[in-house]
Amino acid sequence: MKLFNLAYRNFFRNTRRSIISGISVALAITAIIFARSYIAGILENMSGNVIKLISGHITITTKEYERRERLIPLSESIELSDEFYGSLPQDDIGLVSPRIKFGVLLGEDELSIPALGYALDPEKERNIAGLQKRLVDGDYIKSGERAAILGEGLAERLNMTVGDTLTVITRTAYDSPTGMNFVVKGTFRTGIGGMDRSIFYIPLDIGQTMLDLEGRATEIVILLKDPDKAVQVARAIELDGDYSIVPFQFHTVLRYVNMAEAIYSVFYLVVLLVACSAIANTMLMIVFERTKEIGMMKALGLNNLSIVGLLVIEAGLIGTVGSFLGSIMGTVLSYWLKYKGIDISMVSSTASADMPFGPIIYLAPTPLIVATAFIMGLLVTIIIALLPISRAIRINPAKALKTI
Amino acid sequence: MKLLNIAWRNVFRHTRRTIITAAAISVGLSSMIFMNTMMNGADKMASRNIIDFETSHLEVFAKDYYREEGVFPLDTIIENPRYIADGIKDIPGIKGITPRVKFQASISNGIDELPVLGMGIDIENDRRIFETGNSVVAGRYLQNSGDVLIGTDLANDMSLEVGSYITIITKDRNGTYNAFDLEVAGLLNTGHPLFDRNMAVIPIAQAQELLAIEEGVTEMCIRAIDEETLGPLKEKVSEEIGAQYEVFTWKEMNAAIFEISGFKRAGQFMIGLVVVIIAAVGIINTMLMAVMERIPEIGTLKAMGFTNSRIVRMFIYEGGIIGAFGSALGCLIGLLISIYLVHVGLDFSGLFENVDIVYPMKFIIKGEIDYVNMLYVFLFGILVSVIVTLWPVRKATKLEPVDALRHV
Repeated sequence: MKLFNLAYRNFFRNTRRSIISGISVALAITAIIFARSYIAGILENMSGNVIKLISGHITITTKEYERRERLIPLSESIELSDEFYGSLPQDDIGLVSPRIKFGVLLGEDELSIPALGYALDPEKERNIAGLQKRLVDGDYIKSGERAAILGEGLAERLNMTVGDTLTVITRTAYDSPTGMNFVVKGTFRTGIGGMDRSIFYIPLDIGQTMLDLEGRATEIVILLKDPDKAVQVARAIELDGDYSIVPFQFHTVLRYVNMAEAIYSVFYLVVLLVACSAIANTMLMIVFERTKEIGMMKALGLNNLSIVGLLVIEAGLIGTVGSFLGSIMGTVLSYWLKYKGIDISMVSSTASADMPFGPIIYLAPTPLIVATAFIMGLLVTIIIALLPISRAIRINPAKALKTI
Repeated sequence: MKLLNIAWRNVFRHTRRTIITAAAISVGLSSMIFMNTMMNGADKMASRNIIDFETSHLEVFAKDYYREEGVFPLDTIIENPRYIADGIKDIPGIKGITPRVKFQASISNGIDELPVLGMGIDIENDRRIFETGNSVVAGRYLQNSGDVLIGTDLANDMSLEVGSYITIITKDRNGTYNAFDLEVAGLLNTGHPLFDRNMAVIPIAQAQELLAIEEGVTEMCIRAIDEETLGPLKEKVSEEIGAQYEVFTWKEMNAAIFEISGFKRAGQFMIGLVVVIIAAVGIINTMLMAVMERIPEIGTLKAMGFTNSRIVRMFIYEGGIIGAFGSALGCLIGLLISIYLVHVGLDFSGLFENVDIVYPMKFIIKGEIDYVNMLYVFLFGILVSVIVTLWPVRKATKLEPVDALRHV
């Protein structure tokens, strides 16, 4: 306790220097909290988009469908029997929605635009894809009507507006040619360029008729009551036959973001090291200018451990002030941007459908991010400061007292 | 000169402190250089892929053909490619011209159907301009009508190999469906994802027949001898061929890609900047200590007739020297990392697998060193060091010699 008091007073012997050393740590902590919140925000945004528009919390397809996914093989479908539904764990599941994804070339006359159609249950999907909220023009689709909603960019490329007729010509699950006319009932905007330029939605029952998939679907999308249990629940599902049951966390894009986060942690460390160099410098100076003082303390019987302890506490105080200041700045900045959001629609309008992030990233700071940054700042400060501090051990009391 | 000498000696009064301060700057600067090298490498790779496979340097379209990336209309095409070729072949600076027909199609292996981009190429001429012919990794280049080249990734996806038969289906100019059976003559491995995953290359005559466009082509690709001066060449070409055609440079057609790249650069510059700012606080700290511990010394200098401006200059030199050390070290570290990147590169390919990333390259990034940028980074480091020195030094100018000399 006495040591702490001493260190506390030493901190204010050169307040300006202590504070400036602290500021560099504060800036680093601010940057780290911001960066981690931003990445968490991107991950949240992307997870949200992936869950809503692509995979739900869990996707079930056949194994063969997963293997040939790029080719979108309609022949690999799942029968939507009561038995199938019954084998899903009812307790954990919030919503189950079957979807059929199919590729077509759209366009009249000589125009050919590759597009991706989704046949889905309009009512159920209000709570999954939530497309009724993303409409920019027209109305949402209803079961049983030959109507479609188109991505804004796709409508533009096809030169269509609400009320026009969209002709879809494709092949059924049995590879025979099929086609249907749909009324364009609405256009939507997700903000993800690749999706808005290539996706359209039709009601599931119509899609099943058109594609010869009565009572079947190619993928089953499941929303859980507790998204965090997705991996667990996916493992627990037991189905007869070759099914692939994939929780959303295993989605390639999300894996990529997690990887990016790992790469960024190297950056955090570099930033912290640079910041702590200021503290290392200060400690170096402190040991240097207090040589005489330290010599005297040694002569008075203070052991090396206490002296190192004294200096470490002083460095720790600087680190604490810096980390604390940085945590406050980082928290304020991140929470402000959590509500305000960062508009990246300029980038996301060119983003592909495989990288569904945007159009606005809301930072996702958590108390955990702030707390780890604070502790990291303090720890690295102390560890780096130990190097110059260790010089104090080598001070010889007799010699030190003789120096000026 | 004398001031510089004093500053130089002052820097080494605390060698260790100088090293730590300089090292902090160098970390910031070397990370800036590292990121620049990566981005340059990525951009260069993308550019090479675009020029060597996709567009060459200039492309001529019929007026209003080019609307947006990824749309291939057939209502406005070049009906008479010979007229253009003859018209511009004598313009100096052109290395070669080749016609191409791009069209949206599907290919089927009998089980699955996949939308791809179809491309008809002039078998002989195309090789002179593009690298497509040199990227055949299995089988052979196009020879006869009925041959098709597909990318290795596409072949994998559809379980095709050399000698397999596929059907190509498309709508012709009149909106009528048309199909041909083709034999896979060879597999391409270009490093350009569009070509490797999504492209079927066929002889141009066959494409013209498939689309019922007679002699027509969708574009004429022009390779220049000097790729730095495309502007004037573009002017000359468009003058020669008249207003019913349009000419674009490869950069104009891929503006979006370079815009994304610009965003990434800005983001990464910010990261570097944060590190440098933090390092700059370190410099402030160091210079503040330097001023504080030399108060009696400054007083002596003043008493001996040193003006404030000379004292400020002395400290600025000192800050500048520390900055120069840091910058030099940073550039050296950055250069070493960059050299590693140029020769070995970073392999991101496992990360992306089947994700379509828009950027026309595969993810083994090899660096590309920009020495001019490195010079800027070097100067930036020194500049920052000098500027931040001004603040702590202000204190030195306010000292009265008498007080300063009394200060212990």
